[in-house]
Amino acid sequence: MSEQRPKLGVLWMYPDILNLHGDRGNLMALRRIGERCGAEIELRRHQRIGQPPALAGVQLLFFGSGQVRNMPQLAADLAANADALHDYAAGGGSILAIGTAGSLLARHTERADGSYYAGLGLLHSVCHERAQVLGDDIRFEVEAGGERQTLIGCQIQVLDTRLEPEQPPFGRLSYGYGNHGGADEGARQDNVIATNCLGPLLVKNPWFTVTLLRQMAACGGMELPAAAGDWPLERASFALIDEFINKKQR
Amino acid sequence: MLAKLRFYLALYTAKLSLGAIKALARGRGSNLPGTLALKLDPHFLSHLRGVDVERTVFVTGTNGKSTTLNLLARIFATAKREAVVNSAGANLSGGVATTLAAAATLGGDLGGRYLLLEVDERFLPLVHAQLPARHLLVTNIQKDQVQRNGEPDIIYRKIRAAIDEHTTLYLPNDEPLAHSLSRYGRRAVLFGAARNPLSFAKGGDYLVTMPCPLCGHALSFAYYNIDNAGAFSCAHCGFAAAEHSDYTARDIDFERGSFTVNGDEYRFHYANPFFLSNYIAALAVAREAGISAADIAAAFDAFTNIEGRIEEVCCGEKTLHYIRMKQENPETLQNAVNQIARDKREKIFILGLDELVDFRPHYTNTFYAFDCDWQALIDSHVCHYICFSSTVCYDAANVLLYAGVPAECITILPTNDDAAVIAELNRHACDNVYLITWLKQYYSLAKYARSHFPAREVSAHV
Repeated sequence: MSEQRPKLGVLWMYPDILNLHGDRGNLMALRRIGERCGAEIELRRHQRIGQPPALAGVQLLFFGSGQVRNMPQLAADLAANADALHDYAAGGGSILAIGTAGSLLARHTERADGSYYAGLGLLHSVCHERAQVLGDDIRFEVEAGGERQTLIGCQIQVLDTRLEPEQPPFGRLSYGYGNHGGADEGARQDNVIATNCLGPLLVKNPWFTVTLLRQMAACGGMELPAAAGDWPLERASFALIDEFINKKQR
Repeated sequence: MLAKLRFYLALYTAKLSLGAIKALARGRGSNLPGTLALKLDPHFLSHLRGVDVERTVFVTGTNGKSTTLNLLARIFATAKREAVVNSAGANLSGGVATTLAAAATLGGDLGGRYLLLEVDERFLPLVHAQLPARHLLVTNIQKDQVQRNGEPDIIYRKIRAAIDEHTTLYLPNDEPLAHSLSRYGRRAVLFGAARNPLSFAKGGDYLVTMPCPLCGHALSFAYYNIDNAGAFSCAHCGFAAAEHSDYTARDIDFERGSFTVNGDEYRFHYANPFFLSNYIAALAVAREAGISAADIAAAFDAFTNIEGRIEEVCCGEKTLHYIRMKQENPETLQNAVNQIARDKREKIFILGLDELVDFRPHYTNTFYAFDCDWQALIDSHVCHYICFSSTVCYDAANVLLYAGVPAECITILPTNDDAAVIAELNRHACDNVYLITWLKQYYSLAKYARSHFPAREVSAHV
């Protein structure tokens, strides 16, 4: 009798609203790479504003990037379930927020028109809407699963992020704009991550996706049964874009 | 007095520089003369005389501006309505100023002619502040040039800023964001297409729609006519595409190239859903201007689109069909993919996504390709895929792999070299080839093909 595959639950938060920059590719990557690691990815959607997210059996909450215009409404919806979400994170549940969705995890965000919305405060950060959009490649190093990884992608910056002193970044930039033009990229508090990296992140950086899946499995008291193997296509992509970035730096 | 002098200096500088540029570099100079005029007289557009704002139409939006404007120009010409048109695609404030300076008399008079002007959505408030057109056609508002525009809401706000209580709006019934502008202005004329043989539904685990522009809840679509445009509705606030828009294309026959609107039949040579929306948009404006259905039909019949939308070139026995997409724009990529998928013959598909060089810094965005659904293409008898580019060929290949294309069916070429692409193409027996890449790359490939293979008649299939 074959051994049952570990089942990892992913809750895709507001997929129809946070859908700006091809982030559904990240969900495809979780399933594809998860299967390669021997895990079954159970993908569920949290569709409706006004309903509490069903967190039972979930090891990852995924927030894609979205329009800033929609964020105050989503922030208010999350605030109504703040205790459950804080408990989920404190219990080791993973959260990954891409691009502008990072503002939902921050303390608060100031919009260009002077308005303001409060986030969940899972990350000690504050966001500010930029006057001009900024788009570029991004390359940064992270500590993931006890090793250093270099991640690569793109960034479309509509909100700048300032970290409070006690808040570590997700990574350190070797190229790009990051949170606000300094060396910090994103924010990480244990299993809660916000990043500016689009790509989709989990497609272009499968080595990080494997680490994330391991983290999710550990949260559920499981292990990934299979090694993911090598990533020749993604490594080749990385090499080309790395060289492209190096040329820009020269 | 000083203001007058400044205006005439600007006008004559624009006219003279336009003449000089035309003499020295034919086909260029659509922006510079107007830009100079606006430098000399920042209110140049508002100082022009003989402008009838009731006869001024701005065409703006993400996709289809140039095609729609050129359709409108053809209709007005057929109906013998004299119009000034910036048909060269110079749609920034400098381009608009160039067109108007060229058309004005030496006294700066436009003579009350119709002004049919394509205006870039980001420049719309600037142009409108000086030239308050009473008619505004919005083709659609979609994700586009995210490096500059960030998100569609930024463009929405730009367009909203150019609408006042005098504005008559022409809006797509089935595109939610543009449609939602119908709350503003003095009147909204809605145009669209009824459900037709190429309407489609979406499904699967990764289906996403969009937020309702009115209440922020998720929209749903009963069907799509083109990507992100169709029979939408919001279960929360009731915002929905109108069941009957003012100008709805019905009896749509893409094989025959015909449709009807309010009982009149029209033919269209560029018979695909995306162009159809441009035809109906132009028709709506023309009918509201009092132009007869017969004149519109005659204009559609004679219409030839500007270069570089759909092209064909022969490569020996192979016919290479090029379908243009706008860079970073998932809707036009999806439209191109859907169009290719409608050809059920065996085919080779070449995908030449590349780095983005429209703005500084150049960058390697390909994430928009993950917004597209590739299944119809995969199911349409593609025998081989070629991904080429010196920067993002592997990422493009990965998009196809994630969509379910077997790895052994994809060749990856980390180069933009025309010879390498054509050599790889010639390794495969199939003669029916489709290409999606940047326009500049297509021109380069086409030039190479023409110089290396004898010309022959190509049969139009697209």
